[in-house]
Amino acid sequence: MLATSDFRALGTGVRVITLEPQSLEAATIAVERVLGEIDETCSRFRSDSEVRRLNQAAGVPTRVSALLFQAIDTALRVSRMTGGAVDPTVGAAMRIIGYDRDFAMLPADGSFSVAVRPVPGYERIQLDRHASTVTLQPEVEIDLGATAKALAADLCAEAALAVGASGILVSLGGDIAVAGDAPDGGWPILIAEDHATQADLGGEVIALNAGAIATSSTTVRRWRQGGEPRHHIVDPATGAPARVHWRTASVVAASCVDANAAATASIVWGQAAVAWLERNRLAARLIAANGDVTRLSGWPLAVVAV
Amino acid sequence: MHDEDMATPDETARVTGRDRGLQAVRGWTWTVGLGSAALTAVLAFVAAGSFAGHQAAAATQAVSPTDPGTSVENSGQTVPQPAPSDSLGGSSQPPVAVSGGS
Repeated sequence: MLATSDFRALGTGVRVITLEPQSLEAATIAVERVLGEIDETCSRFRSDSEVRRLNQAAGVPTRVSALLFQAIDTALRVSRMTGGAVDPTVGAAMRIIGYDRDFAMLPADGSFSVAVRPVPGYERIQLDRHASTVTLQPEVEIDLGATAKALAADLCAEAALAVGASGILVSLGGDIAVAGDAPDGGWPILIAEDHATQADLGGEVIALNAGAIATSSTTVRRWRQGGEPRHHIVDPATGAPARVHWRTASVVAASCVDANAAATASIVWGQAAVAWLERNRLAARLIAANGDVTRLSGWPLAVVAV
Repeated sequence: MHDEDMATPDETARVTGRDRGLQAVRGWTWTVGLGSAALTAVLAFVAAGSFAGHQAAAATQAVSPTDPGTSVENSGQTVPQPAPSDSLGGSSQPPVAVSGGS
């Protein structure tokens, strides 16, 4: 019998589900601990976060914690995997387009827009594994947002198993990692454009037995800047919000990091994402700007829960 | 030609010795220059091996979907990992979680 706990962390909703009720408390505590560490380490909205201090030390080799090193290492791997379509050096770009604080605190219509420019590029981050240092070249500002959240989902699932959960599902704002045993028939997951959609409202449902699923969408975090619509998925090549070809992308992969990377990159790449997803055998569901749905690489035919 | 313009044996010896010295200096200069170039090459090789990240970054340019004919099939970390086979299917069960944008 499944047991569920819901709470908020990292500025989004969190859901923890265990296969058996007796595992839920320990699993939830373990997840909370991981999320707290991620927040203290990777949040660009906290003035006391480690990543904020790192950004302020650009140009200087800076010794960092094992977690921040892992987060940056992961972000760089994602950048290499996506050819730079997902790039952690978007920090300054995010500020320029107006996403400079927790989304809940953004004004309805921010300041007039300013000139955007391409991001510096992930190659301007150097890691020294022996010294555990990170060197950001001058004027490089990193934002680990999406990658860190996906990494957190993977780490949370591992942590829950480590404290005895036989099977676990962790959802962080719609980025979902499962681990261990799964319920009969798999974990049923509603696919939506907004993770806050009520699960019982009906829609396309998949069953996931292993791995992870992540959804990136331009339809949720939206605001206006100088009267111009903005969303939070930056195209590193321009420094501006990506042109919307796919407004939402859901991808299944072995890890939430890989799923999130593919989903985000799909928004940035537009139509070109189809070939890349198929070549890498990643099951994906893409929603075009006009609402048309494309299913790829073994994504199941639509099964709508009533 | 005047006799005063001809060098004395002593002067000739001094000039010869000077020339030999200059030749020796020239030889040392070449030796030091070649050695410096060789040392620079060795240090450059060592430095290049210490910054593997640049090599990795350069090697992954082929991952971009703008080059659909290229792929990095065996580079391990730069290839996304699909979920295990048979791990995904449709479901008619009530969902327990929602995957959506945030």
